[in-house]
Amino acid sequence: MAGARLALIIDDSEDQLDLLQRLLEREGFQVFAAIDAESAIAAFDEISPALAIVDLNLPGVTGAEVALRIRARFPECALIVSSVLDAVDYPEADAALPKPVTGASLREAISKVAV
Amino acid sequence: MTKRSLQQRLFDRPSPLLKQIPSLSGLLIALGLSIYVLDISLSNVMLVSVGSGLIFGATAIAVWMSARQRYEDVIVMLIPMIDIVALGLFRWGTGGVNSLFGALMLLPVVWLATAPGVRYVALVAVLTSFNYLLPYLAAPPDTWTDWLRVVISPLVFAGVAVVINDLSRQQRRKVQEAQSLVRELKVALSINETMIEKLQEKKKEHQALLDSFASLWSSITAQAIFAIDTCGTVTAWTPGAEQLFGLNERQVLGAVTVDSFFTPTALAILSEEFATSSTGAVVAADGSEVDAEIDSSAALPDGVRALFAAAEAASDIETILDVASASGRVIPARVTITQRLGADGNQLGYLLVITDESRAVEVARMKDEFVGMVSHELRTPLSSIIGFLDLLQNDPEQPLTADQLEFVEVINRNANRLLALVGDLLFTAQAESGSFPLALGEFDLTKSVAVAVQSASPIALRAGVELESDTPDEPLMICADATRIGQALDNLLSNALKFTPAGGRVVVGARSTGENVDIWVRDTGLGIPKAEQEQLFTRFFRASTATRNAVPGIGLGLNIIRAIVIAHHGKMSVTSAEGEGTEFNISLPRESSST
Repeated sequence: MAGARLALIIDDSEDQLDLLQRLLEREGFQVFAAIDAESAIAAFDEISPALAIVDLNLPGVTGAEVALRIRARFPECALIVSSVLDAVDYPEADAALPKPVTGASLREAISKVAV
Repeated sequence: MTKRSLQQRLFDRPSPLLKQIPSLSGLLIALGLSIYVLDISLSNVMLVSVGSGLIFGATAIAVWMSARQRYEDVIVMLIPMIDIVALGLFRWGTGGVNSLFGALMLLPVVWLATAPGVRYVALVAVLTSFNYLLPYLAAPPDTWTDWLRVVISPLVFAGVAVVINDLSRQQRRKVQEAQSLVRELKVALSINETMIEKLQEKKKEHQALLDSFASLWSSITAQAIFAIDTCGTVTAWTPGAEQLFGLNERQVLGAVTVDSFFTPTALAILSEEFATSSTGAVVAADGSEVDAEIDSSAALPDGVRALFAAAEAASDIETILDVASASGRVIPARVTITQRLGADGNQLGYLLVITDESRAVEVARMKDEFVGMVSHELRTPLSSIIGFLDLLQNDPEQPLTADQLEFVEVINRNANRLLALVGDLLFTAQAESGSFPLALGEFDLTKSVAVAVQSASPIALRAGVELESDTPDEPLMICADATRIGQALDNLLSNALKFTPAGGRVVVGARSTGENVDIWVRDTGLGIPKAEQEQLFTRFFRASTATRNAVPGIGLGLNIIRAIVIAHHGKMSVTSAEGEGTEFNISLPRESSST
């Protein structure tokens, strides 16, 4: 586990993935970006994320399902849910990061989960 | 028929000829006996001839009168008189006092006596006396016996005539009575016949009315219409009701009560919605009637009784409810209930009109789903725009020039505005379908007001409008969705500032009113025309004062505020005068139960 902490980000929008990756890298994270839940799950054996940011609207396996899997597989990992949906509809998570995501809102969410 | 009429002609109303036959026959027999059998000496051939001649003459008159059908003529009555005189002459001619044929006079006497009137009895007496006197004209009687003969025989004839006259008078009266009875019967019968005709006509009209009503009733297929009595039992059922509920007339009439058509949830909603009116309706002057009313519907669920009470109070009630078909299918429907009164003003029950709103509800759901989907799809690119603008603004390695920062700020502001509009659109779509969630928590309302005033002050300052708050010093705790309430306050303030020209004043306040909390926003702005105040809360509605004065907006703000208030089980009202200003008032319960 040498170097920076790993952040797993799952979002079906490439632009959003790019944005999150840049913001997280500015915060000193190493980033594993997945365009859908399936590719993230496929990589579970190779990664050990300290932080996961999951978009809820995903094709195939939904964000809520993959959030549960991350909880089960990486109990130590801080889980942040991000979506255009209303915050009330979010599944149980450590923090919520409603879109649009900005540097300030991301920093606030990270400070909440204290990674 | 012909037999009877013949009999009638002969005996009920005999012709003069028929009446004359006995006298004629008597004469002929007497003549025959005198001449051929008995060898009676015709003491005076001339008298016999004159008598016989008179009889034949009288018979001729009878024939003539009969032929002319003149049965009641005065001349007819001459016939028996002539007969009496003729037979008197005949008697005289066949031996006078000793004649065998004196009694023949009885035949015309009977005829004359049957004629109506006592004068004919007198005539009989006179004529017979004359006849008996005739033989003595030449030689008057010399013994008392002969004198007596002259007196007694006419007296006997007169007596017989009296009896016959009276009997026939009685007979005539009876006949007359019978005839008048028959006439009365005939009149009554004809009245009856007219009556029956009228009745049949009425029956036809009634049947036509029934037919037209039946065809009208059976053509109601688009709505489920049915009638119930005061106990809630179905008394009439349209084909439309059959279609909607899947039950036919035979299955429901008198057998099913109205509550079985509503879902338990709908009944609960009813009892809640019309609760106040139900307690109000039980109060009446006549105690016994109220008892009876309660008894008749006592077996029904509270919801139905509340609905009945509301229908009685307001004459008709319309509401949107879920109804349940026989197969258990739940159908969203518009339910109208009207009190049904009889011709005498007595209550018969209620009429229910139920319109299937499934399609409308489905269309509304699809519309909201579409708006929701579009909003989500719009949010995703907007999120990227705003996110990357943020990156651009806050990149320590590549700082922007002052101009660039200003441009990015403009883009950012507009992107956020667009995002807010999309959010509003999504929110109203959720509000219309009643599916937006509330995150309830306890908070101090005075703080929310303060926050709203603070964020609106820069706008107020720019617009040159004075912005004040009027809240109590102590905290106003309320259990509600703080974000939504804040949103409502922001929207109200933003509206008030938009519609108030420079130099005006906007006041936002809150106060406790026991179980509720009142929030109000008052401005000295353009005001809203009276006619438009009803539509004010409709989605996309814009007041004419807004469009005329080019106040920006798309007509979602008030719709959103109202949706928030309703979700909190609160009430909202507006008072406004054009050119003077507007006050919006919101009343929220302190404890809002989540929907």
